[in-house]
Amino acid sequence: MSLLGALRARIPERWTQRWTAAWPTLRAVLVTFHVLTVFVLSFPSPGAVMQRSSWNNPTVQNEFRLWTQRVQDFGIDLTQKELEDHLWELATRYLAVRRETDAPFRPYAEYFGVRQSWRLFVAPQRYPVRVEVSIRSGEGDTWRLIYQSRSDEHTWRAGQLNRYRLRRAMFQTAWERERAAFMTFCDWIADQAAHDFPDATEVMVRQLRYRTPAPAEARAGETILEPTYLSREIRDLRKHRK
Amino acid sequence: MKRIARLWAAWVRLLDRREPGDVMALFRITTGIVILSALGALVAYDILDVVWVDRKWGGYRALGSGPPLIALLGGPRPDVVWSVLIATMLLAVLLILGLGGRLTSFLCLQGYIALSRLNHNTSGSSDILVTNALWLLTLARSTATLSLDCRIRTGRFRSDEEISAFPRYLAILQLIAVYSTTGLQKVSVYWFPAGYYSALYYILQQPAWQRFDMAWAARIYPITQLATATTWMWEVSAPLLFLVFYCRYTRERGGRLRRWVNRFDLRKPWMLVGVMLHIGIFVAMDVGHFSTMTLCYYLCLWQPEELRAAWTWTKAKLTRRPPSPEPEAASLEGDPADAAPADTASALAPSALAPGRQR
Repeated sequence: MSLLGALRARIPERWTQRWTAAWPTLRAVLVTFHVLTVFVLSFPSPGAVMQRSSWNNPTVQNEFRLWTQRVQDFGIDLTQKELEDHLWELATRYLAVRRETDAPFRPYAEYFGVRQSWRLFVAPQRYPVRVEVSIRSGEGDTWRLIYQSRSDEHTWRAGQLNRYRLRRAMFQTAWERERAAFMTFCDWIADQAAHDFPDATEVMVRQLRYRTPAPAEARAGETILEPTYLSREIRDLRKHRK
Repeated sequence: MKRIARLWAAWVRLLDRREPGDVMALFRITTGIVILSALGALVAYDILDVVWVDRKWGGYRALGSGPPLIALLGGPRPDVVWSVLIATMLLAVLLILGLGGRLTSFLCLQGYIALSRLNHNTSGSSDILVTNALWLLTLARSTATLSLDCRIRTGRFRSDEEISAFPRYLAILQLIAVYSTTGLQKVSVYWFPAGYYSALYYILQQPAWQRFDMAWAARIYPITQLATATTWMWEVSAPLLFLVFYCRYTRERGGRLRRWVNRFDLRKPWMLVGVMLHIGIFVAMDVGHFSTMTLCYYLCLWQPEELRAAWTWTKAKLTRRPPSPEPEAASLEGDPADAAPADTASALAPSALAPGRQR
């Protein structure tokens, strides 16, 4: 007899019977809790976008502008600023309620992997960011582009940088709230460049923000519109050589 | 009050249903494969130390002490992260082989939670789908069949032993929750007629996700508009699947709506749209293992008998023989002892479509 079997044999018969009779109801209670967890936690939430700095992002501002226009088309007199303020207030109140309603389910979701966050492609990034990495071998030297997002020509460490997890990391660093992560990302890039290019003295990491062309513009041959550099970080590679 | 008591009793009965374990076994195997490929990619492309190790030890950002398990082991250092990764990958192999029962899936879950929560900037919905799947596999007796556990227990890899059906129902609930809430959160004007249904076109232009240059999508703009409208409507209408399943499970009650819903197997067109959507995403965009993991959940839309029938039908087609009434288990295992009649016609008979058997 196995250890488990021996232990089972020690349990009084009436306890086993009672447990067998109660189990379906107990299981139903537990499954109901699971269903409620999924239902409550999967309710829509603005998540990390609920920061004023995120609302200033050009993609978000573009959405507010378009929605304001559509609302005005319906004859409602509302400015973009008013729409933003109304939505901010509404979302703040909504999140306050959500904090209370989510609280009983959070520990279960955290420890048993039942988190529910399904904000997938909430809005297309009309103003996406492209990462560019350049190096040079002296202060008067010209910058040489070695990496550019999705480029077939500038492909330094593309085997790493073009993979999903790092794409996601780079995507996140374009948000104001992730500036600290962008700075350390630049440090990491400098570590790698210092190793891969022994003659280089500096590395520059830039985030090029641009407007994606509308279909008609793309058909006319436009690729990158209204380009501006969101950030430009230069690192001295001598400090990154071990 | 009586009505509530009646509903509760029906709920308890529903959760008491049992069915063969084939679907959950396949869900376990495919989930294990997805985990192996997702974690294997980190090793193969030398990304692990970049994304999940603290800046102090060569990662790209500060990660603090990490999730509880990582913190307990000493923080996001290379030795700790690599150990947890290797252990989780080994557990994923055991999951595929079906060794260790619920304990394997629970430990694999804890390893995956620890890893995927190390850096919230590099993890996403695809990882949450994996952890949800692993918890459902912990609730289910997913190694009852198609597993080494089954082989050890019965001497065969396959068994018709019945398991609780409720974890499969929860997987369906999860799938509906994913689609319906993602649809409800698509608040951009570009998802609606007011934005000319241009969301998909613009998403395909995002360098963060596109696999290759998608400027050519402008030439097929009307198709992307149609795909945008279809995707949004398909996602927000996902809760209608509840109605489909309810009508199927209560088919004996009759009624015009129920008869109309049951006239066609509406799961098939729903799944077809979903598969096309995910294949499209997979081909055009790199969003990790989201598509492959979601497709694993699709298995749970079907009952074990239906999957067996589909298997027999596919096998017959491949061998250019008509589906035979011979035991289908024999074809899988070479042992007809525990086989059930599994030709397409019998498996799709009303009795086979019943959601499961009461204990």
